[in-house]
This record gives sequence, C-alpha cells and structure tokens, in this order.
Amino acid sequence: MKNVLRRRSRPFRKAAVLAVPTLLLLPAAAGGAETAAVSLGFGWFSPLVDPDVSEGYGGSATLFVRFADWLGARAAIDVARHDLEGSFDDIPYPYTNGDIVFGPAFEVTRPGSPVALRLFTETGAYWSSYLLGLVWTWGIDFGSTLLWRMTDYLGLELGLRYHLYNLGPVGARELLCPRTLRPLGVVDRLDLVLAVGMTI
Amino acid sequence: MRLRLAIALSVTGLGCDLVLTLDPEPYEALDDHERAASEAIHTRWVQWDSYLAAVSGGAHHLGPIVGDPSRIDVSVEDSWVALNLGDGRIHVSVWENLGPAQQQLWASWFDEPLEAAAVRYRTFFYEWVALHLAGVETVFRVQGVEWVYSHRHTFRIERDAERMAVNYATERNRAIFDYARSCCQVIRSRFDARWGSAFTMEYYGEHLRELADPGDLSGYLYFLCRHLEDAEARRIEYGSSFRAELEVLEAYLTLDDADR
Repeated sequence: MKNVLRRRSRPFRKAAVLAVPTLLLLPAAAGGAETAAVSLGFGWFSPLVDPDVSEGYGGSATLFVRFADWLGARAAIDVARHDLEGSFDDIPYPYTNGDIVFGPAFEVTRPGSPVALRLFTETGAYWSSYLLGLVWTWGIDFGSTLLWRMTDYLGLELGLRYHLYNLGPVGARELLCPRTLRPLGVVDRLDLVLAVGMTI
Repeated sequence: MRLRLAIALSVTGLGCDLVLTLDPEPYEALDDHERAASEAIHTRWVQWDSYLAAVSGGAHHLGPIVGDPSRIDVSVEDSWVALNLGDGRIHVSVWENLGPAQQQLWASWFDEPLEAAAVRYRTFFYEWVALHLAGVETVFRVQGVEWVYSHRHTFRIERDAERMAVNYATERNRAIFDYARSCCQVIRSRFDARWGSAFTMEYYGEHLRELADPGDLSGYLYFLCRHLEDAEARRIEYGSSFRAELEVLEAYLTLDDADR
C-alpha cells in the first residue's frame, strides 16, 4: 500500500508545487461570497476495506450554487479508477466507478471570510464498471470542503467525502462480486480531493 | 500522507467493512447436491490436468483449481452461469440452485419432464461444460491471463477452449462428446432461427451480456454448441488433435496479430 501511495502521489505533488505559487501571485480576495462556482479536482479515492480492489485515483467536477449566506446546493460528477489485486492481479481490467450526485451544502464559517468551511450531503446514481459489466446503483455521501478564497474568482478547495453506494438498484443489473458472483451489499468509498474553484 | 492514512484508518475504524469482493462459500458449507457437482467437475479437471501434463511433457498444468476443489464454485443461486474469468476459480450452476423458470426452460428444449431434464443437465454441465471450462483454463495457462485479456477476443477464447475440449473428449472420453453433441443438436435447432446468422465475433462481443444473461443462458449455450460443431468439423477436416491444438495456442504468442 505504501508503494502505491508513493507512486500515485508524485504527479499530485508536482501539480500542487506548480499551482500553489501561481495562485499566490493573483490578487487577493475582496471578501465577497460567490453565488455560484465550479471546481475541478483530482485526488485519492479508495474503497476502505477490500482484499481485491486497490486504492485509486480520480477526478471530480462540482457546481456550487448559493441560496443564502449559509445555504447552498452542490452537484458533482466523480470518476475514479482502482486496479484489481489478489486473485485478479493478472486481469488487466481495472475497477472504475463514479457518481452523479447532488444535495444541500451548509457554510459554517462567516460569509465572505478568506477560508470557508462547508458541510454537505448528497445523493444520486453511482456506476461501477468492472469485469462483469457496467452497473448503476443508488448511493449517498456526506463530507466537507475547506475553501481558501485566493481571489474574488479563484480558490483552492480541499474536499473529503465518504460515500455509501449500492443502496439500491438503478436499472436491472445487480452489482455482483467477481469472486463469487454473489450480489454485494453496501459498498463504501472515501475521497480526498484537491480542487481549483472558479466563481461564475 | 499521514493525514490521508489517519483519515482512512479513522473511518475504517468506525466499522466500515464494506467490500467489493466476498469470500467464497467454503467446501464444507456446500450441500449434498453441490458437493456431488463439485466432485464430478473436479474429477474431470484432474483427468484433464493429467492429460495436459502428459501431452505437454509437463510444461502445462491447470493450476490451483486441481489441488483445491473449493475453487470450483457451485453454490451460486438463481443465476445460471458457467464462467471462468481466469482468477483461479470457476463457477457452474447446479440444477438444484436454478430457479423454477430456468429449470423449466432447460426441460422445454428437450421436451422432457423435469426429472429427466435434471439428469441431462447434470451430465451436460458437470461433464461437458466442466471440460469446456478446463479448455478456457488451458488457454489462460498456456497464454497467460493478462496476455489473453489484452490480445484475445472472448469469442476466440471460447472457440479455442471448445477445440481443446472436443479433441480431449474424442481422444479420452468419446461417450461424453457424443452425449454433449446430441444435446447441442437440440439446442442449435431451437435457436438457429434466432442466432444462426449472429454467430460472429462482432455480435458476440456486442451482445455478450445479453447472451450470457444469468437469468437465461440460452444464447451462451447456443454459441457454445456452434463452437462444438465447428471444432468437430475442424478436427475431422484437418485431423487435429489435443496436442496440435495445444501447439496452436502456444503459437499465438508469437503472432503479430494474435486475435485470429
């Protein structure tokens, strides 16, 4: 696991080293809270306990719309990829998965402060693509983002989300275990994503 | 890094034991029908493994399934499957675990009562399909699982596996070949109108999920039976043998275009 983390974190670190000084050169935020923003991120996605599915990496696109100082809504699309391990080690098909989710977001810090902390929960459709095909299921997530408003229109956001999916079917196909062909129960995933946010 | 690990460990520590893969049913937990099926399939695999080793001068074996019958998964319920993904495990549905509609469907093809259909099913699946899956395993063992997935089409893997099975059976167990062929003649006649013109690599690739639907395995079995007939025609026309087909599998590794 250490090797995987080390290998995957290298490009991530390089991108951060380039991005952060660039952002610091931009003009400082004027203190306004954005009414709408999109953020694009990349990070670590991982099923938490699984003997055959490795930690992975993925991308995330999020739209945030503010309704009030403390209330907004989020819609997100996430894509992640995990290699298979153990008895599937020789099979070069990765497990890829993602989601299209939306839900309310609550800003718990003072409106317009340089750093904003948001808590949110979302629900939507989760897809899983692996050896046995493409399967859509229903899921939920919750988490928080820490946004550093670097300028009026640009910020750096760190997001942590915990997902529970395969809570119910979306479509006819079931999510089956490739080892036993048995239907799976609830599956979880944890994401840690660093994103660049842009006010729109 | 520490932060990520700390987060992962703390959330894991909350009791998230939610996994994408499950432990298979242990052999001891199988019921009598499942054990009988597992033993029948295992016997076929042991015999195949011994012949494969003899023909290849010890170069090839079927691998861990031969030494560990618990890798033969016969406890899938309500799903009709015959599958070898190359992960050192095979899945075959036993008659008793099929749903009533699936049992009725199989019986209807042969116009026979359920009791007779059950006997036919057990012979066809635990003997013939077991040999076909041993053929698939031979392809994986000779060519390597990763190479097969990277270079070969599923249709070709099934075809090559059936060639191996046909040659194995005609050399070692003619009776089971004749029995499977007679079952296949019925299956082909039932579905020729539906899939006769669709017996192509392209169609198989595009409709694999529909053909191998675990609710109704008709399409997969039709294609298997077409492969059986083509393999027999090839065996007669070219005078092929288990050894010759094994050498063909080895030769694929040296071809520029391996997907033939």
